[in-house]
Amino acid sequence: MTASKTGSRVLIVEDEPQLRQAFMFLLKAAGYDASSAGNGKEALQQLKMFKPEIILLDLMMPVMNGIEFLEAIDQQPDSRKYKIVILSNLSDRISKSDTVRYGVEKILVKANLAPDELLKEIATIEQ
Amino acid sequence: MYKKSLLDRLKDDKKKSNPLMTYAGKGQPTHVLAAVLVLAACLLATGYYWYTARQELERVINDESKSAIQDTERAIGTRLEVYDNILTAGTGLFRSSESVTREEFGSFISAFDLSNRYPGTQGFGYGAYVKPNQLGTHIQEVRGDGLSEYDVPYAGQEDPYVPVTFLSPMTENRRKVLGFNMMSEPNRRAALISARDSGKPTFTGRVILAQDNKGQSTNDEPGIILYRPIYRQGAKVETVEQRQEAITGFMYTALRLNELLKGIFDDNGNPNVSLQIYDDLSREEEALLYRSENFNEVSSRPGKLVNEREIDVSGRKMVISYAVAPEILSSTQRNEPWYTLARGLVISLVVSYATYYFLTYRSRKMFRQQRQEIESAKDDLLSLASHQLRTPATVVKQYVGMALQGYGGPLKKNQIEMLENAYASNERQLKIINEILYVARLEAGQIRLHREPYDLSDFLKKIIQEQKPSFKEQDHQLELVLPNRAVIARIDEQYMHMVFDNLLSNANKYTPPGGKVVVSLATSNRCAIITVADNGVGIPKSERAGVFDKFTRGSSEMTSQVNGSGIGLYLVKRIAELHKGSIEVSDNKPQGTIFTLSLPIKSHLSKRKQPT
Repeated sequence: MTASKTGSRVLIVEDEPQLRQAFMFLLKAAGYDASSAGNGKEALQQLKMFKPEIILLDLMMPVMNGIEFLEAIDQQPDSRKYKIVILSNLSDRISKSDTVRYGVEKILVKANLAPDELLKEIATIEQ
Repeated sequence: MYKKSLLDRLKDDKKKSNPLMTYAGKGQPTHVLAAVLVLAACLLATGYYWYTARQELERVINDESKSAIQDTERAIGTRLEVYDNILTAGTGLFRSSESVTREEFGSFISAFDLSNRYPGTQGFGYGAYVKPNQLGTHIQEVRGDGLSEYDVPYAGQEDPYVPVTFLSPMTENRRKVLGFNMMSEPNRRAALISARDSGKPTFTGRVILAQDNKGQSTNDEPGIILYRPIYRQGAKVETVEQRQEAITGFMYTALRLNELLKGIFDDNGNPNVSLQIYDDLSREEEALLYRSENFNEVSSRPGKLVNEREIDVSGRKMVISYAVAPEILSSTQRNEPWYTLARGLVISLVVSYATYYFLTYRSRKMFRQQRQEIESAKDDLLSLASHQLRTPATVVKQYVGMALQGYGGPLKKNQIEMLENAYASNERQLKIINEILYVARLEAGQIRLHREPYDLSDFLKKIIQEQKPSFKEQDHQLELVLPNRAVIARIDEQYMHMVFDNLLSNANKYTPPGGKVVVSLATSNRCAIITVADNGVGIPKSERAGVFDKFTRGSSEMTSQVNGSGIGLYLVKRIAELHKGSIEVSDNKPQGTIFTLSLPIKSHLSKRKQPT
């Protein structure tokens, strides 16, 4: 078990409810302040209220997908205050240049990560 | 809905494409048949046009020869008419005066300027019609006209005499002809009697002209004589009896046919046209009046046309034969049938080949299109299905993972074992789904590499580091052999990672515990050569050829094949190819397998010494 040192606010953007629940459970268990959104649009609404420090972002979602979400927050002046981690199974759908452009910290593949591996990755980003 | 439409598309494509596939695959004979039919039709048309062109050519030559015959007939007719006109004028002379003197006759004829304007004539003459009992008187009269040696050979009391009485122009040779009884020669006699009885100008048949016969000339060219009867002034000449009663003599002209006809033809002498004229219808050599010098030559030429025509010249039947050689036409005209044939053949071949090409091209294109549609539908479906499978499998992974790691509270030993089994199985499932997904996207051309320069040594070190734990589990030795210089290649890290993940997990799997796996990097010929060698069970030669093949996409085979590494090595091969590299498999000595991956390298970078 990997526990959070700081208890950062993490926003999980994931359309699959069970996966969303799993990540919520995991992050809360690890001591994070976690909240979730089912797509990019919901996530945008959460930004002001929840003020996340880290965003775990899925790419393929209905209504507003991950790339569209990235484009939307890129328009905002304070976009760089979020640490963004792509957490998707479609890791090669985002190009290297896009990760640089949107200031993506990391790209993680859901299907490849065991729960504690995910926590380790988040912990390194947190610092 | 999307899924349904995809499935429907697949079904529809199958239905539609089945006959098409056989058409494209085995349909070549149909195309050949179509092309042959087109060829046959074109050749038939060509044959028809060729035949028509030949007919046309023959028609043109025939027309040419017919019109030449007509021209000749007209020319002969015109020429003879001229002579006949002179004769007619001569009869007028005899009728208008009681007695015509030798001098009068001479000056009358010489007015016509015969030798210059009327070639072919030997001259004109007059023969008095003398009954046997008047012969003595006649001879006395002529002698009295200053021709003291004039005589007519006695020929008995039966027949009338027609002695040559006047001749013009008069030469020394011709003088001897005077007094020659023209009734004594059967040919002339027949013409004379016919002329007397009909009152019309009449030709003799072919005769040897008297002055030639008697004179010095050895020229025995045939001639004809045209007689015109002269009747007594004022006498009735309506019946034969009246004409026989009223006849007083004949104006005549002797014509040399050779010269006469030469005169006609010299004007438009064509080496490809020649003519012969027979005196009667017998067409026998004795009756030959005229034959062009080139007649035999022309009439023996291939493609010549001989036209014959019987004509009537002043009561005499003659046969004109015209030989026309095809050379009368220009070579372009003559060769037109052949040009037609050649053009037709070329067009036929081109058209039939074009037909074949078009049909083949079209069916191939349709076949390709259908195939592409099917493939892309398959890939879409596969991709979608796999994605749908992957998400729940990922959910399972996360929950089982959390349970295993104690997020759900402490676990008993056998609970941990169960969950570990579930987790391992889920891992395998995810791997397979991923591979299928990659294959689908590869096939759909959806995979774009993000290649960046990497030092392959560093890359391999990282891989080995990751793989070490699983090799340790099997008690395998995992070695890495690296060159002492950097080898830089442009690779997509993620996909190349997949390649070595596959190769190494295969080596791990197929080597009995305690084995040895060696990964080595070397360069050769501007390529990086990376080998993964194990001393495991090896691959039988019979299976080696198909080791990189994709699973058969039939639904039943899929499940059975996917269980193994069937897709894995196919992916490896495709990824190597996307990197413009290649992969091969060979035997390791004394046992095991070697996979050899070649990748193009950035030569100018790899030459650099590795920094320490």
